[in-house]
Amino acid sequence: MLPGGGNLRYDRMPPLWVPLRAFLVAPFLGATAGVVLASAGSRTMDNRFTGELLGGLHLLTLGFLTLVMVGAIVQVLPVVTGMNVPFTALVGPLTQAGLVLGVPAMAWGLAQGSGPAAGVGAVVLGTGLGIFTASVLVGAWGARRNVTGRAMALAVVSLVVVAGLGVSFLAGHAGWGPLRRDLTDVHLGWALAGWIALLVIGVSFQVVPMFQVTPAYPRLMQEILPAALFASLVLWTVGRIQSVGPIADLGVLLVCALLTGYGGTTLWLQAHRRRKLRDVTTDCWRVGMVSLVVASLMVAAGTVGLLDLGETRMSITFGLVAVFGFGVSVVTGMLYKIVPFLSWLHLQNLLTESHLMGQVKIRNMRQLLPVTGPQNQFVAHLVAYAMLVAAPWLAADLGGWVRWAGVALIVDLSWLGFELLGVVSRHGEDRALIENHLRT
Amino acid sequence: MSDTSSITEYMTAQHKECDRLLARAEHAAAAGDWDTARAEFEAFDALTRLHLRREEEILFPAFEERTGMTTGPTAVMRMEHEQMRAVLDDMAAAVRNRDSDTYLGESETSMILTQQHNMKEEQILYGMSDQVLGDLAAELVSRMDEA
Repeated sequence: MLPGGGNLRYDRMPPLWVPLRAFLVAPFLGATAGVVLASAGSRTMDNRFTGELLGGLHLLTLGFLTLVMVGAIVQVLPVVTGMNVPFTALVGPLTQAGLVLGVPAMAWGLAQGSGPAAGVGAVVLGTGLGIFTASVLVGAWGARRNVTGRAMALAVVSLVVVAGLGVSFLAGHAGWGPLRRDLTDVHLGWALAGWIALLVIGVSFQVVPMFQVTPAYPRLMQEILPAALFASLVLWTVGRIQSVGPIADLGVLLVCALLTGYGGTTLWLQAHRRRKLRDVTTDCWRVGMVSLVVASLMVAAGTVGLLDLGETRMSITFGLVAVFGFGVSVVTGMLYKIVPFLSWLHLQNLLTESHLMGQVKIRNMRQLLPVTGPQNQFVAHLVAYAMLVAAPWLAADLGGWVRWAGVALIVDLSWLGFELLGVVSRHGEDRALIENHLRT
Repeated sequence: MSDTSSITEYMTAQHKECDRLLARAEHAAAAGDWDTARAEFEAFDALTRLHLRREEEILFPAFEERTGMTTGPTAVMRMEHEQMRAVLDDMAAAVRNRDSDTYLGESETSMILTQQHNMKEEQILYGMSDQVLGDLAAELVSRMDEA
């Protein structure tokens, strides 16, 4: 038996379609959040618990962010842990199905106030995420020596908390039990700082230096940050549930300080990237990291009494900065690297297996995804972001603003989806070229 | 002569130097400065091919002999080396033709292929090599340095 990584397998890359399916569906599912805003208009912003706002927000967090993140875990974990194939062959599709079917049902249930739809959403989503979290935690145990593996495991534990509370809220909406609105902040905190931020942090330790060619994150930060963030969230939750104000405040401030430090470090690393060419992934991550720092500072300011985060417009703005500005921007940037690279790698492996390397010319990364499309889509993303952040403040006076912000969101994420579909279609042409060559 | 006896440190430093050269060549090509781009690319190409040869001819055989694993990680690394060489050939053609669109596309492809390859080597294979080769590590580093 080899020390350290004797079980690590480089050849465990799952079939192309397993992660790709999730990456292609997610932008369009996320775009439906825009449909909710465009059709409901200003009443979405009446308070932070309107059904339309909750439904739309979850189309983004689950339909877009979580669907992609699950796809990314399915892609990365078998490589770093050497997990068995049934994981990707079975768990990946089951989880994806749970999300793709459960999220619209849930969003419909919330937006239309339909108890049965919320109930169906709760069962389907709970089943899908339950299968996913259970199998990933088993697999992640094998990757515990790896900093990314550990952060992923903590992110998935956070997802258990988020999903558990979320399913109980849905059960409340369906009328199956009490609706514990007092625990909403706990759900929100673990979703944003636990599931989304911890996963982004763990993945970024690998992919920021790799895709953006920056210096590595400081070793100490890689070793300590995920566990410290998780522990701070636990501290906050205990203080919050036991109603011990100072402990809860200390936990929140620690979370904010850690996330601000992480966001600042990432921006610093990006400023020192070795490649000087403009790169849309780096642009997306910059917007994401600035948003993470702003969201963290908003919560810190709210905790020390400088900002009233309980005020409806301010709380919705915070949610949009954290979910859209941070989450959607970072995931968009990732998709622009992962999808063309996976497609290229798949074609390249096909060439190698067929002994056709050097005989058949396949497209390179920039031919699979020409740079101008994503650069223009990035502008649409900034427009949508600005319009969404302004929406809670303008909803009362400018009747059409929220609807137009919804349209901007539809344009943003559908455009992303079409760029990715373009990659897959060009991949298909090159694949056909190789197959033709094999036949002749 | 290298002053380090750790395979991880020695090989990782070469990865970093290759990254630096790739970025400089790319920068020059984007600016249309083909004389500089050609010189930087040739330096990148030469160092990358030397690094791959050092692994294939010295490090991997020692690793395979010590562990008995000839179809494991080293086989995958060798396959990826072939893919990297194919991209280097395409980059060389683009430099000759002064075709910046193709060069930048191939350069991006090379960068991402190399980065994910390096990550696997730096985080897994080199560490394993340092552990299983132990006493041999310093000697292997000096042999690779002379190659």
